[in-house]
Amino acid sequence: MLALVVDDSRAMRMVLRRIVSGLGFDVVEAGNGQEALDAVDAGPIPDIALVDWNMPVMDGLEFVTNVRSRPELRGVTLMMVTTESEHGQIVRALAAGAHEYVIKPFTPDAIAEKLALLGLVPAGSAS
Amino acid sequence: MTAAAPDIDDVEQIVTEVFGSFLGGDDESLPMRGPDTEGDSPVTATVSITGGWDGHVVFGCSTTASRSAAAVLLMMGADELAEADVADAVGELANMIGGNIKSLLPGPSALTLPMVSVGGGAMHMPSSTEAVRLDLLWQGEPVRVSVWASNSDTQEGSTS
Repeated sequence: MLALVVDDSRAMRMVLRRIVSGLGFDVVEAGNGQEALDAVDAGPIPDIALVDWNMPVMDGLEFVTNVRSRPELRGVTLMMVTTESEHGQIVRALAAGAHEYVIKPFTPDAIAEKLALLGLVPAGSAS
Repeated sequence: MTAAAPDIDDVEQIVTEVFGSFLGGDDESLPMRGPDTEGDSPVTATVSITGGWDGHVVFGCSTTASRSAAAVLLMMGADELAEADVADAVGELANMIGGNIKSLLPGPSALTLPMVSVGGGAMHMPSSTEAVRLDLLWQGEPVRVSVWASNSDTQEGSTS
């Protein structure tokens, strides 16, 4: 399983890398939505992308919208991981095609539980 | 009636959650209320909020605290960190704290990317008034979170 971690903060990418690699994922990183699209196009296609919202160049919502518009990427699960917590923004992200939404700050268990809900890790993977 | 501002206890809870989630969760590693301090923090990261409420959230700390936080987040030795690593880590802390403070304020609104100053001079917030100042100690080092309301926002609130 391959996870694409998309966040403009290297520190946050490191945090998420530690969590998902601990759950058995291989990890690739991108610093914004455009870099993430480039990574997807270069392949391999990830099983899941964990996507920040506020990023330079291309934000997470635009990335999600772009991925969902491409049939060949239908299998990519999209999880927003962001500080944006207004109800309207959560609705926008889900309407654009995000499958799950995690608000920062989060715990490793919260990420594991969401991945279990998505069927990407066994239930009970949280520590 | 004054413009909306977050409660200082709510701000402290947000900071505690962010530090607890990312910088070590045991009680001894959480920031505690510290004495009010004068002067500017040598390391600051600012995010601005625009929309239903206009203003800024500033996370400031000592150089030692900034390097300690970056070392934990990046799993590096403090002596291995470049200035960009410290700026990135402090910026992300400001992003999380500011984003959660935004959720306490009237919306809808947008959050800017963090602006970080490492070793910079005095912090200027033109046309803004400090609405909340929270001084904390983390690992014995000063940490400050302040919330600045734009004066236009305050004036609109004061007339209603």
